[in-house]
Amino acid sequence: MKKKLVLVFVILFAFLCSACEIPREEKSTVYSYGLWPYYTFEEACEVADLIIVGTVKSVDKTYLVPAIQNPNPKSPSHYMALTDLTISVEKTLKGVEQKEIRYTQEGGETRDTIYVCDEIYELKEGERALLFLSEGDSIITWSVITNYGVIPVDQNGKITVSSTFFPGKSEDARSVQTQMDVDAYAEVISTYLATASAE
Amino acid sequence: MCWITVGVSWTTAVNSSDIRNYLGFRWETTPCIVMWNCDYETDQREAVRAAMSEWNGVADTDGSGLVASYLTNYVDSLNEVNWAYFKSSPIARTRFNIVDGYIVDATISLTLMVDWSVGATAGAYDIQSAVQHELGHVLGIAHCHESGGPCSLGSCPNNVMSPTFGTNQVRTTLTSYDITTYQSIY
Repeated sequence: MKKKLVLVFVILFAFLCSACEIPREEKSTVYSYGLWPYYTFEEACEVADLIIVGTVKSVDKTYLVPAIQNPNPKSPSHYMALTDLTISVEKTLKGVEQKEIRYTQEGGETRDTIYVCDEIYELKEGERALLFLSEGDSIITWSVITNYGVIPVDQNGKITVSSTFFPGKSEDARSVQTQMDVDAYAEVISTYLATASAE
Repeated sequence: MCWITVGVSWTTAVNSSDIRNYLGFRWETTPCIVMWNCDYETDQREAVRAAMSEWNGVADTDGSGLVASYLTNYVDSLNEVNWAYFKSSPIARTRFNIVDGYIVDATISLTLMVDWSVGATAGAYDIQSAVQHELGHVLGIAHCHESGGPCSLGSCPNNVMSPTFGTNQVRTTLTSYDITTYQSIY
């Protein structure tokens, strides 16, 4: 009986230790900066397997995968943090219509480390966004085609998008941020896709 | 596996609040020897060395800047240039371990999800251009603007530190943005 009691306490202690979160300010931080593929509006529409407008329904726990071959478990910079999100789809502009999709975004927070991925918008629960996605190697979760393929929608249904991310524009032009209705931009995409498929 | 050694001489202190294009951290010691483990084929390794040489050619503000790159028999678990499989879509990534505002370890990885080439090739990304961009981050340099964000000059895509890169391109000439930002840090 005594042995069982000790065992229960040991298990309970181990569980509590694994569950206790280090205060955020005491966590170490791994910063990550990258080089992303450049796509014109037309190329992005072609490369994306799925273009949707949706809302983040839930955010799963962050997990780590090796960022290089033969990583050293003691080196946090040898790993990348990924977080899976469930997104309720409200509008499908390209691809097979689905009620919900799973989307993997880079970055997140583990028990002892914050992984900051600076150039990409990190979606949170309840946020709405327009997304250019590709299957990658997985049919279970989707990933974004480039860092400007995540376009958050504000409370008023507006998005901020580069003036170069429209049909007929290229990166060589000076770009400014343009604010417009997400529905209007979705219409630009749909119109382009309809024209492109007719050609 | 092969190894590449980079020696960096830094002579000036940094006041990060004055520097707009600075990531916010740098290597601490002056000079600093950063040794790299590089797991590439010979021609690819030469492209990595060429990328280092481009940054080596930039003088510090006092003119004494020096980065020497050469092969050596060095290996540990720090400062890797390596292949990776990315679930997300960047073609290249640099990750840092930062201690007290200083870089102590950097890992550069290129994704195996795309095709790579040495030089401009249709459908492939040039290794030297990508590694040179990542080495800019390793030195503490930020992107000249974020993709999707405002780009005030039409020449921004020519900067090595521009955030996006296309296939069949070579972008290895350091521009005034790249050079002056480096010089503002070191």
